[in-house]
Amino acid sequence: MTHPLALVIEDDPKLAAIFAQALRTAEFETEVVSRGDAALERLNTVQPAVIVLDLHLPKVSGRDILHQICTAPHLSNTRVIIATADPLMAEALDDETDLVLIKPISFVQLRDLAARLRPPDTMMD
Amino acid sequence: MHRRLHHQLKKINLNQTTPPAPEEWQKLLEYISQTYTDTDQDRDRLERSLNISSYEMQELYDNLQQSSQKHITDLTSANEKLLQEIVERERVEVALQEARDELELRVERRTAELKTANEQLATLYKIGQTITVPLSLEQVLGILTRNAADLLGTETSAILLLDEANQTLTIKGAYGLSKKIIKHTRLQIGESISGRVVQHGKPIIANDLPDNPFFYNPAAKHEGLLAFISVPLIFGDKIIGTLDVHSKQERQAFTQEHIELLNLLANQAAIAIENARLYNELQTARDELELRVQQRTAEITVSNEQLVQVVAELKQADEALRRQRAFLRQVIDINPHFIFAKDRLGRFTLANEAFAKAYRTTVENLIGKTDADFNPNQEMVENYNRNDMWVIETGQELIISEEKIVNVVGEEHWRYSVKRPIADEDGIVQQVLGIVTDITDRKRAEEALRESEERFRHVVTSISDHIYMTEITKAGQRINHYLSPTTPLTGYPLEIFLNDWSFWPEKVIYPDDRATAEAQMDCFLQGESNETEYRMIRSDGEIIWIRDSGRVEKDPDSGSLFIYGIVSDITARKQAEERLRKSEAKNRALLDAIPDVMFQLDREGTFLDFKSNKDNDFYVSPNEFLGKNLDEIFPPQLAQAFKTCIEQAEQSGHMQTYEYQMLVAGSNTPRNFEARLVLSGENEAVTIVRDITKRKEAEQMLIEARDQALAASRLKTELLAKVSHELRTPLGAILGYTEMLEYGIYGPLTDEQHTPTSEIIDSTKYLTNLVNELLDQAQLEAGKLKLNIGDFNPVKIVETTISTMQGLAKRKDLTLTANIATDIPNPISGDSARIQQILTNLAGNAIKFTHQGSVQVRLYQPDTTHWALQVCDTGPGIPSEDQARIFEPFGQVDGSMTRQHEGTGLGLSIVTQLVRLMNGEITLESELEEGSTFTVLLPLQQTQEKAA
Repeated sequence: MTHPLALVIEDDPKLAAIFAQALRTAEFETEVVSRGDAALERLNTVQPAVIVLDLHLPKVSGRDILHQICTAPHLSNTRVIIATADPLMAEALDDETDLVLIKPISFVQLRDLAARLRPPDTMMD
Repeated sequence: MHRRLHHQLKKINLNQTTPPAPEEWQKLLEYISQTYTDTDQDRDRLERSLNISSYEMQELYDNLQQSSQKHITDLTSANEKLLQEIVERERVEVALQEARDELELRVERRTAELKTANEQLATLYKIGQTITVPLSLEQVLGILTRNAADLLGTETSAILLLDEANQTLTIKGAYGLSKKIIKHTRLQIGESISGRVVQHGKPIIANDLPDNPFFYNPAAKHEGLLAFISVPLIFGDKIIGTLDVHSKQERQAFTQEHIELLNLLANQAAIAIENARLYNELQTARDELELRVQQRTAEITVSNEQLVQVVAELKQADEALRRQRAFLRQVIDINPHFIFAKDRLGRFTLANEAFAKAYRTTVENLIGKTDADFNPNQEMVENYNRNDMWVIETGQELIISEEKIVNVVGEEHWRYSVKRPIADEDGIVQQVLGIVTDITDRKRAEEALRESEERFRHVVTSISDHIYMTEITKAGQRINHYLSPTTPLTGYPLEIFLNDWSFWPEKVIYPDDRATAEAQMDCFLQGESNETEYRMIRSDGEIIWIRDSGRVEKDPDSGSLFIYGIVSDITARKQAEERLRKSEAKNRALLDAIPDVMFQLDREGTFLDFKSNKDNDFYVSPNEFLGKNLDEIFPPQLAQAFKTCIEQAEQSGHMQTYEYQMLVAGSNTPRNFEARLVLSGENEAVTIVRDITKRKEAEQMLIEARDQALAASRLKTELLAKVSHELRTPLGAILGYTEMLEYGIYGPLTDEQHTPTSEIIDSTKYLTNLVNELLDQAQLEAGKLKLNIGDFNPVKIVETTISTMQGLAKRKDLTLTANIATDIPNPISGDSARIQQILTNLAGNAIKFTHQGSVQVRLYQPDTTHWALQVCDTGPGIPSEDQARIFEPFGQVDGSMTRQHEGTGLGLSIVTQLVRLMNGEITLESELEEGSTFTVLLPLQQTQEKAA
């Protein structure tokens, strides 16, 4: 039995660790990417159920990544939680994504929200 | 019985002078005796029948006896007279026999005489026949004298005719007489025999010549005449001469018969002589007539020639008359007045074109017709005819000076009519001539004049000005004739001025101005018109300014001066003048105080005038620019700019402003000027030029300061955004790790360890809230906050808030309840997140400040267009003096509260600003120690997104 994958794209390692922990607590397999370009590359190969995306990233902006997710066919079922420190940005992206959380993000809150988005476990082998 | 007897007596003619025949007498006697018998019988019968008394009968009988006796007596005497007459008759018969015998003798003698007379008559007849043939007088006289001598059987005769002129008789015809006697016989009337015949008109016979005493004719002495008969020649009742016949025979003597014979001849002779004379006269007259006929013929010839000339002249005159008639026809036709003539029957005999036109017809058509043929107004026609007939009947002219009529097309006209009789050759008026003038225009003009006068009178009587007329007689007497009421101006009744001319100068005129008024009166007395302003005192004591303007006219007849004047109240003007004077003084002072330079320009840009406090203000000295054009003084660009300003001022009518830089004398740096240009007259513009160099510098500094402030503000917003952003990341780490600790990710915590982690989490959330509020405030200030409008369920907002805040309330032992109206609309349009923020903030505050009791959230609809959220608490209340301030940023009641209750102090301010952004309203009701109620009123329809 394999847990669904949750990809955390966050350049701040502390926050990335907290987000990953919250998602694990919500019974996700977690993977953390800290750079935008790396994230885009990784998204070509994986099909996460949930992505926690920081908009403020080095190299490639969070918006570009969001655009990639929305247009990639294999990511059509992927749910995206935006994590941003900019409330104005949050309002702007509210319609484009499933969930926008403004930093500071509560560990409990993220865990509970992610749990709601969690698809059923898939049977492997 | 008596009667019958009497009748019988009458029958036998007793009364006749002729005696009755014997047998009649016998009959009578028998009758009488019978009568008596009858009488007795009658008497008896009478006695019997009438029972007449015998006495009476006796008396009657006696009377009868007496009567019979008298008759017998009378008859006897008549019989005797008859016997005497018979004797006389026998005697007469004898005398008659004798007379008859004598008569027979005389008849024989007479027959012989008649035979001679017959012969003479035959001669006379022959003479008569002869002399009735027209002959000359000489021939007649010759025949007469010869025949007269033949008739009487003598040798000589003469006819002497009376010359009436000298009353002498001369021989005009003679037979057998010598020429000597014929020539020399010349007798006066009464002279000799013939003169006497003429004198007495009777024939004379003188058979005793030449010894007859009356015969006196020297010329006849030797003629041997012995008898002489002369008869007058009488024609009518006039003796024209004598016919004399003489005899030289011894035995011959003329008799009465000769006279009668000669008279017969003389009668014929007189006629013949007169005939001959008449013939002679006729002959003479015929000759004269012939002569006169010749003369007349000559005269007629001359006259004929004259007549031909006269005819020619008449023809000329006729032509002139014809032309004159044509001319007159034209004159009456071009005459705008109506001209016509009518006969006794009202038929037009003359009309001009104007008149025909008024009747909508032609002159030809009008002649012979009447008014009634053209004028449907019967009353008017009757009136015309009545007037016309009056003129014809009376022969008098009729003038109707004003007559209002309505013409055939219904228009109202005024007319002046003259109707004049026209007489024919016999002086009988047969026609009337009418001339009618339309005076409508004049009447209208009169009407207009009357109205104008009326208006003028109205104006005169209604104006408040006082109009007067004062007469100053030659003797110096002053009489006031007032034309308009004085009351409005002076307040005094008119009569005062009419009765007392001195009232005005002595009582009405303001004492200080009396000299001025007297001077004016002196002017008037000199005959000069004058206008003077002075003050007067009204009846109510008010002092007003008046203008007394008078015009003086001298009446040449009476020598009086007439002053016609108007007194007007000019107080208002005087006051205005005073204000103007003050205003001008003020303006002058202002102008003097203004440091600016002023120019006056005409529209072409020529400098007309200037004003300056300092000479060194100018670009060039005043002497150089006055009278010159802008072009000649200023640089071309600047001059053109000024001219453009003038044009624009003309077009817009508004002041034009123009700023420019210019180098002025004595300085290397340009100075800034502001020119204000405004039109000040028909062809003038005033330009005020101000040195604004210092102002410009100040402005520049202000602009820089503003830019700096703006930059600082921008920086602040940016900083806040940055701070906000940068704070969130570490806050996230703190919150996350603390929660993980709390959650036991890093191993279970003791009870003592839970307390600090909870505190850390609360502080982090408080800090997060603080950061959010700061960011909101910054965004509101920067106007960047935008509402996100959408449909939402207001009930859900309340429920979410209640559930979120419930834990907080419980911790303080407060009851948090919701009161939701059932009729609240759902959904409502608006920014649900911001409304949630508002309610959370208000509820949070309520919970925060309330120590015991309750907090209630109310949702309801106060009116059809709004909905409301209300938060009531049982907290300490807010003092009224602080109630306004708490809505301001950082407006908590005091700093101590901030410290006591935590919070930025921005919350309520942000709420207020958000409510306003939503076109809503937030109100507060609060009592100290009772609690507070915040009410947010929001429109149901959040239509417009509005930037803060």
